[in-house]
Amino acid sequence: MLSERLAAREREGRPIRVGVIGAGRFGTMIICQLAAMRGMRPSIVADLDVPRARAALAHAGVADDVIVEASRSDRANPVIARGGSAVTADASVLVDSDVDVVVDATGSPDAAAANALAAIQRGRHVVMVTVEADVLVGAVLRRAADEAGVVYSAAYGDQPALIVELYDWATALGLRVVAAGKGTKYLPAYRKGVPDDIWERYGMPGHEHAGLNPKMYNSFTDGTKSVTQRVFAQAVRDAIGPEFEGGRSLC
Amino acid sequence: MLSERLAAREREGRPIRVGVVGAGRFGTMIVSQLAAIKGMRPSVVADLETPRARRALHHGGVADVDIIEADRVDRANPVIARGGSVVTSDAGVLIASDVDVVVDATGNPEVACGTALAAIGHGRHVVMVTVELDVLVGAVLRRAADEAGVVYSAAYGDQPALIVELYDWARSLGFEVVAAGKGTKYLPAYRKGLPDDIWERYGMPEDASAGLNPKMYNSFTDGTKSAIEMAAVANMTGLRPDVRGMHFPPAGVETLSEILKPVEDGGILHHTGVVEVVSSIDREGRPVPHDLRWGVYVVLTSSSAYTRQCFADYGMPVDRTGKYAAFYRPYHLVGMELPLSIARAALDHEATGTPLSMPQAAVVCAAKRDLRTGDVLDGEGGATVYGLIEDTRAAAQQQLLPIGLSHGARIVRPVPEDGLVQIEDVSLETSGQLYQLWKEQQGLLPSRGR
Repeated sequence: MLSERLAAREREGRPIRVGVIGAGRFGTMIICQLAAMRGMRPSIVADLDVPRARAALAHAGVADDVIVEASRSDRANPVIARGGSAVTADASVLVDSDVDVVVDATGSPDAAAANALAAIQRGRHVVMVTVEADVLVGAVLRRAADEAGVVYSAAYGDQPALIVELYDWATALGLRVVAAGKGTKYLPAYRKGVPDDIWERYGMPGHEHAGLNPKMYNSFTDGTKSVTQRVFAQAVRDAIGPEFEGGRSLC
Repeated sequence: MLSERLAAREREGRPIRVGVVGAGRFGTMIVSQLAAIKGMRPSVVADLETPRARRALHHGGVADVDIIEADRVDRANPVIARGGSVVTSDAGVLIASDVDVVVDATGNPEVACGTALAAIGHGRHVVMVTVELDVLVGAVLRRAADEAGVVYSAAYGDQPALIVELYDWARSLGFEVVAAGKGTKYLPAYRKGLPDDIWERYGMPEDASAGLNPKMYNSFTDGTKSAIEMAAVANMTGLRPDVRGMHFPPAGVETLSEILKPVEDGGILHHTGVVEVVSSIDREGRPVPHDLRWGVYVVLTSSSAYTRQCFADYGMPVDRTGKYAAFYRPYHLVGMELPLSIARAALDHEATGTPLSMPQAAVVCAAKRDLRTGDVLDGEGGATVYGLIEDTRAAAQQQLLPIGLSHGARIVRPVPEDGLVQIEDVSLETSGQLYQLWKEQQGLLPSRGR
């Protein structure tokens, strides 16, 4: 079982060292889970807003006094080596330091594409949360990853990868896939929705959306994110080869 | 993706060659699916009744003229090599012929035991559908497979392997597993159910039940099969039954996390990390809303408040305290999904669930009625005993008879209705391979007082 293989990595003292770029909502969820897992570490978290990276690790139960801010990879590496967590404002420090896998959760296609390329060039596996980047340049990134001998993967747990999993399950079994996709809250009128009144439309009261990005949530309802995910699922189906197996291929 | 890797095997002209032993309901689902898959072949189907094996292949769209009956390996192999299908009445022929993976779908523990051992001896991967066998001797078979360098695997698509998958998903991610299991249609009164009137209780019209085994279906409702499946899960994960026999609470997907949580948080569990079965009907027989009759679930929790809040934020059914959340799969496709076990074994040398070295749970017998001296037990799903899951050490300490060995056992000391049958209450055939392996598996248990 995967859980046994991860536990073995923990016992052997060589957990998978993960770098997460972007400590927003999605990044915080990743970091929280990484901290709870045996066999992985949230080794380094990069965010332009360093206190946000610290806050994500705090949510995960990592004490503030064991988090080290590092502006150079040679400062980060000793922290990573002893199983601690580094934070940095500079994604390139993260990419250069001793991590096995880089996750881009910036939500910014421009930053995500640059992070992915840098990580691939440094021989890191890449898990891409920023689906927008994937739809724009995913095939090119995948080719670069193939050439570098690393994995370029969709993010398991987000809908595209889960849809790909269902698609693969059905196709492997010889069942014909008539349609595949996801659910959302949608009305045609939402297409014209603007970020200013998104929280009412999304159904999230005032005190709950603090710190969340209104443009991102507006994209969830105006249909843009759904289209991105659909195109992405198609792209993965077309592009990602045998090495795409969710987390399995990462270790 | 797995589908692409299988398609590549097809293109390269080297599909995975599968032998299926047993062409009943389960075997037919496997065989018909195999015929639809790129990268696999239903190379040999063995059944005591070869017309049944042929019919299974027909369901898969294989034309009768393309099916060759063979009673010798050297007759079967050329057919397999050209991608055809062989039927045989002799499982020994199937095992010795050129197959990569052997699936046992006989439902008969004694037969399955011989098939599994022979297949492992021939260096074939084994996918075991006959869960009864797995509970009795799975740890020993797994050890034999390890030594032979082959995979011994639970059948993906059947509930135990799907529960193991959910368990592994949760444990890998660092969640605490509070309970894991499946749904079924259950009432306490069903415990005493007889094969004679099973179709009404199961909810299947007479004409739909033609060719099906009434004892097997009776075992589905009298709690025995549920006990066997949950014991298999316990033995593959280290989860334990909360109490002997489990609770079988009525629960739907919305109430799983409310019910299957510790007593101190308002639930019914005395321990966490348990296997449990939920009923799709309440104790008055009314349907439970959003039931899980065909599905599997896991109830989990996290030590992180942030993560627990995320459960609710993303729509998971969360209990009143906000600590526990349920994740589930609504359906299982039984034999139709089993080829994924074959693929994992042949391509990745991995099992979709395999027993741990130390068995956790056994299934013991309770009397459906007063059992008198001279009565002969008729095993799982019959008219004499029902199965209860029990901790292996407790079962060994009390010398309780496993239901997998009960078929044909003669009562030598009376047992009252609902009493547990001890090994000394019966005279047992002890010369068979199955009994010998079971003794070996018992030897794996920690000795008393340790």
